[in-house]
Amino acid sequence: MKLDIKRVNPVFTWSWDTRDPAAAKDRQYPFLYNYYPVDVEKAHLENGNAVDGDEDEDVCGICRASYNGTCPSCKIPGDSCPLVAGLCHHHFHYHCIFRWLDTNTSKGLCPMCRQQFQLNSKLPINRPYLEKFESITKAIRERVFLDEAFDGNSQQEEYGNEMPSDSGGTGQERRSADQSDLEEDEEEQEDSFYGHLDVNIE
Amino acid sequence: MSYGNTDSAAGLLLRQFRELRDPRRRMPCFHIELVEKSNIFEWEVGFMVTNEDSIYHGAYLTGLLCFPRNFPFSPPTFLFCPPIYHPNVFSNGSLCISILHECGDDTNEEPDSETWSPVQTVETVLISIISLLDDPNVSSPANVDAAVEYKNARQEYNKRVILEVEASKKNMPPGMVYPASAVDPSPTSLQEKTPVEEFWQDVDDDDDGGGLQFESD
Repeated sequence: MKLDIKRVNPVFTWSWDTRDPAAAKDRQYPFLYNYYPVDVEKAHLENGNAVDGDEDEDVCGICRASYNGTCPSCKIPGDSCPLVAGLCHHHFHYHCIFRWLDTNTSKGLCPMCRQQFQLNSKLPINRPYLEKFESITKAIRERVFLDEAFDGNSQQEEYGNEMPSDSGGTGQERRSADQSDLEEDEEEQEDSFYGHLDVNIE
Repeated sequence: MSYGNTDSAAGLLLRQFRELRDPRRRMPCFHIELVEKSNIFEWEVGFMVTNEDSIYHGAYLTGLLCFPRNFPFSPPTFLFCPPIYHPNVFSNGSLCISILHECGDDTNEEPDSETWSPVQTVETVLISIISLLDDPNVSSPANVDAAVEYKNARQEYNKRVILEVEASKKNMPPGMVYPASAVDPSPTSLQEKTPVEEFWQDVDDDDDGGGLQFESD
């Protein structure tokens, strides 16, 4: 029986390489760094995370979509919806983790382990986003500082219900006036600090 | 910020809704329906406590789970309908639980490790609610009277709860069979257990007449 091969359709698979470069000495194609097919279980073990065979191991913890897929707001996997890795060995879609970090309530913490989320600068997949990450973490630090410095209850705690009224008017009126001034100052500070928070991610 | 819109939240909720309704998942503790077929952001949840040691065993507690448009970056809210008598449930049925509080919220003093995080799922929320029924947090009560009674007059508290449990059985949808304990025991608490030393310290405080004191207005 004679067979003629008329056409060959090669199929390639890829996955994000989250291994530390120092640990990946067996890499054959360094120019395909991000797209080199890796053994995910081996990669996790190298990163210090034990793998228990859980089916959710390879999904973004925030959007529950595959690492190699996209977050819900994207359509094309790959560089348009990249994966980023933290120093705590937790991985998320770039858009998912940055959207979380940009909320007022995140405090810059990793959603998984509640440690301060820091990108692992050693990993090549993170390098394009280090600068943007720094700007967001700086904004978070300033926001936390603002929350502590401009606590609206501080004056009330200091003076109670009656504030000293040396320039006429009741203590209650003085307090409300001072409070409004404080709020105006706070808004000005927020405008200056939060100005660069509106990050457009393409 | 040019991130996703409500479609991404709806997609995530739809996926979790299907997972929780999947018969292969074997989650008979919860009965979940949408309030409106066209709105994935409002769920009607029925709780069935299968742990025979629980005073809530046999109850069918219904509630409303409402999700924000930016889920999972903000927590859902839960409302017991009808309201139940519990230290962590307000008189209007609204549930006060740390996992549904945002991190940095001034209205509560919970550590960041216990507050909402986007990696929480609907399943973890529901399990936490079931755990809270038998293990209320009396240190920050929503219903002070219930907390005082739970702490100082447990028998009276249990009697009142048992009456509510009996009344709640009427809310069970027709044709529904209550799950057996052997099939699916009540999920264990997700909250961290108090270290042994702290536990005994609390007991000593109580013996000395100290500990938590609640005063109802």
